[in-house]
Amino acid sequence: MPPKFDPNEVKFLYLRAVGGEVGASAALAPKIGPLGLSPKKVGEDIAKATKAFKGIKVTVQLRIQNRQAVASVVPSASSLVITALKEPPRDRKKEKNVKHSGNLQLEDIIEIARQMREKSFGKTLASVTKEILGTAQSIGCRVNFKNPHDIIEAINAGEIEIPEN
Amino acid sequence: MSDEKYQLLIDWLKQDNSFYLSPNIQIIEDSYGGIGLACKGKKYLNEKLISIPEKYMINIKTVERHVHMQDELQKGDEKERTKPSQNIYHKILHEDKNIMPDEYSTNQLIILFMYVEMFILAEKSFFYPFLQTLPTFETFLCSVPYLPDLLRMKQYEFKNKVSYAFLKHSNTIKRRIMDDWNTIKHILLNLNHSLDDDANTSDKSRNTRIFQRFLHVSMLINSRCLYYDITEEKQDNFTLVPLVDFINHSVAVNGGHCYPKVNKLTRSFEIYSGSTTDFEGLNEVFFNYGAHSNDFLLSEYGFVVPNNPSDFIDITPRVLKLLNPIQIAFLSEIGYLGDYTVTYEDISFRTIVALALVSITANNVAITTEQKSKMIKLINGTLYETSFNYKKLLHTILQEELDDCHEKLELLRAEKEGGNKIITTFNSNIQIVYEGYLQILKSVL
Repeated sequence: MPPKFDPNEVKFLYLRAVGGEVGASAALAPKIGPLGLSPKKVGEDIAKATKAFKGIKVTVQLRIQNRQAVASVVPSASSLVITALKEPPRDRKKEKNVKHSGNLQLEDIIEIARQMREKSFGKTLASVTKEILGTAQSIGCRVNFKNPHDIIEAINAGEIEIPEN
Repeated sequence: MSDEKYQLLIDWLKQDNSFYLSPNIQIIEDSYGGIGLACKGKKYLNEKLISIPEKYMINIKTVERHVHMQDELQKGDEKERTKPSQNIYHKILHEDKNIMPDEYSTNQLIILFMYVEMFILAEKSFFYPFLQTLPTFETFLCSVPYLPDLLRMKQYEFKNKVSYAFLKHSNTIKRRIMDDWNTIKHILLNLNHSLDDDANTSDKSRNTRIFQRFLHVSMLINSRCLYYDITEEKQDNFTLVPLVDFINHSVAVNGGHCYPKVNKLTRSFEIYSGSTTDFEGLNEVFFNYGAHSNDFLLSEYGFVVPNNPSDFIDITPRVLKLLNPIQIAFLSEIGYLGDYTVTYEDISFRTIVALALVSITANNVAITTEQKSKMIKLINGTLYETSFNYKKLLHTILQEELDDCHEKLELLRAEKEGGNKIITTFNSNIQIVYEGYLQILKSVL
């Protein structure tokens, strides 16, 4: 006697995939094959859903219900920052240990903070922005041609104002 | 449903200050002659439309609380003991010694409770304003094809008309209903039905009436329960909620969409708007009950949805006919035995695996190591289905299914119009199921 809106009817699977590419099915197939889903088709769906993050490793959520799977990207601060850097595509096998030494505008960081706000426990947009700046520091890029930590200090000192929304 | 019944329900709910109903919401008769909720004017995304306090819901927690409260009151002063609700529960729990709640499933306890409240206490029940808005048994008799079968009404034979998927699912439901009946019938038959029984009522007629009422309550719970977290036991986690159960199902998520949410603080059941819209006139609001096929909707709730994107065709019997015992054993070993389906523009991977196995192995010959290895590569994703010649087999199966659909549709259309309401509703619903099947088959053939 299945009640309406039974959360047990929906299965969620999480996996890491490189954006825009049809990855190896070996990891996926044993989990989704018995549920009636073709690993090949799901691989293609994942590639389509991650087109915007081409070449970047992202976490993908597969929502499986009634023999159908819907793929969506779980946004993460690092993948959003690297995407914003708009680096040229690279051959991951040949070019290793890349430095993400590009520059982002503070507006780009604030836009990323808006996307990540729901996931973050930060009370205000300013606190979420500081979290994203921290991620930018880890990645090694610059914000407004400065060290991201300097921007954090400027926000704390009130020199830079971050909007409410 | 009459205005008086609706007003009685609202007045009852309003006794609790935490009940909320948006002034833009009102009850309507939907296009199928049933009841729905509609909204007029502007509604905003995530706006609260309805809030029902927990005490008005029927679930295992509220039922236990209600029954024990009534039982405790019975131990109070003599004036209180004359109340029928206290007498009936005291009698069941203590005097008859028939019921040890731990021996019964949650569903059975709630069936018992609703039976007593609806048919023994009737207007004296606390839940009467809610219960009197629920559908009648005749509504279910017309819309749920296996109910006449449970009542042995042989003139409404449906098994040769319905699909395999429907038959399989409805058999599971029938078994569950009969298990519940066999477990609790001794309690129901011993209840004092003083409102209905008289010296002229035969035992057989009385038992039939009680069974019919039991079926009515079972169908009400089955078709109207909503998921609600109560305990860690899966069987406990459902509830019936007044007013919310008027909201109908739609596969489309559009301006009329709304969604449920349980308030974790107050445990109220709340309904929120799924979009910002400005309706001119009345527009029905819908839920999406879940991605369910028409076979499922018909067997669980008694309705179908034309052009249902969640429809699928279960071709398991046709595929199993092609398999020999060795192939069946192998598929069972790798976890791919059974559940072979076809959906819109897609064949289930399980079906592909089974047909791929048939295509590479000959009948009555052991499966070679090389063939097993090829199959393992297929299910592991290192070999694609294009490496197997299964399409001809699949085409044959789908063509057989198509011919069967056409045959059944002709049978349904040939039945005379102007038959009684039960036959007309069956045929109309089952036709919609098969029309969905035809669309699926057209998309894959």
